[in-house]
Amino acid sequence: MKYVNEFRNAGIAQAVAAQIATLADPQRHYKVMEICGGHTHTIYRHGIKDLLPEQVELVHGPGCPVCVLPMGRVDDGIAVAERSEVIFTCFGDMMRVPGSKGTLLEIKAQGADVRMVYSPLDALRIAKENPDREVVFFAIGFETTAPSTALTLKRAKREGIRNFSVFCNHVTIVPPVRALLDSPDLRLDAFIGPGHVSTVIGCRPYEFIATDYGKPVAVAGFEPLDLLQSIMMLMRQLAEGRCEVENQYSRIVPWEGNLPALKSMSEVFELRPYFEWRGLGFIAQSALKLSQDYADFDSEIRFSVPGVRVADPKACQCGEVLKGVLKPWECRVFGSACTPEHPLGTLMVSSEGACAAYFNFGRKTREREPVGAAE
Amino acid sequence: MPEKVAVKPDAWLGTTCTLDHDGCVVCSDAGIALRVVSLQGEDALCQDAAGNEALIAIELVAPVRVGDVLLTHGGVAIGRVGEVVT
Repeated sequence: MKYVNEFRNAGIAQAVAAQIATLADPQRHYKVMEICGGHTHTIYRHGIKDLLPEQVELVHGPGCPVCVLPMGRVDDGIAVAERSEVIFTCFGDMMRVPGSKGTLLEIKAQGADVRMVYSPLDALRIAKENPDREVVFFAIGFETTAPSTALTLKRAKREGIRNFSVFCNHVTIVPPVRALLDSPDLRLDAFIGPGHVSTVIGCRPYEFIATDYGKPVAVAGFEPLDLLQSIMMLMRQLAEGRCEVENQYSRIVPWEGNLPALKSMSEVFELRPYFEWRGLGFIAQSALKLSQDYADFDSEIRFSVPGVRVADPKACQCGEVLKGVLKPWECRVFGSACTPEHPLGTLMVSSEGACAAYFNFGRKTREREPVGAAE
Repeated sequence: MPEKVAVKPDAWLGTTCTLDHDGCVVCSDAGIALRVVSLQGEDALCQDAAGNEALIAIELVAPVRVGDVLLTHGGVAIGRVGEVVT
């Protein structure tokens, strides 16, 4: 199989970077947002930013599902996890996400039965093995992850596993992108579309970005050359005055997406009227809950979660970073009160968070103005 | 093939985890390409280049044959990977 080395070839990367430099108008500043947290990670890990001309700026988008989860939802999850009859299961990064009173990892240390799983199907297996316990799965993620939760719930229903339920925090990618486009304090020129979300939803849902807002989109893969090629495609569109959705990741992403996955999701989920996003506020129809047919598996109904709303710490500027208004190092607590060891904001928790990616790959210090520069 | 592995034993938590050397493959919304080794009903035993094996649900990309390369995420195949000819 050939999937990685071909997409990390330094010579080709430099040739593509040179092409991008040729396409960039020296008199213009370009702001390109990568929507997906996985792209943010690749950009920092492979130094993509350093290959681009000065006038091309990459802005990090809201595409890390852990990073956009408000503290109140973490608190709700912890309230369920603390119940004596519950085995609480979640993905790895969720364990360290701080709620207002601690993390799932901390309550595990205090005796709560919190278990990390690789797949919701593992949580279902735990439910089958522990029929006298209530097994709750903390579902989180965009459309890449939602199909696995849907498939798991369909199996649970078919097999009559009654001690299994899902605390659903799945979100959808299009509404926050629309919210960003409507945001008055943000001027973006183009978007790098999320590759693996698009494997499920296809490329068509992004067409409004081109038609309604006049911004080009390139759906991209996760290797360095994928990203460089997608930036080149966007720069070419901008240079030629075109606004289209292009698919750089066609080796994996079908234009129409994965129809069986979309069908499963539509059976199991329905849109919430609104959902809170960290840093972006409440966004209409931007998240999923279990449909009426699967309400018996809804942890929020089964356990009556408190539904608390918690404001972010005042020092934390995740919201501005999420919207691309601030760079990670411009946050007042970056690298001091907030580090990967002791994260204050969610962007420092997940390795796909912009702050953690920035911190982990060498840009640890705040870039300060030289003395006297302000005068 | 990806440097990432599909599943890595995590002894202290007593279960399996997806934390590879650079992040959580589930929370990052990232997929991993795995090759199908054998079919087991609704699931398929899949393998990455490092020899790590995982049981993957395949009903969202069925029909699947041994040798196919699937994009997997959270224990479920969500797409197919086209071979890159160089």
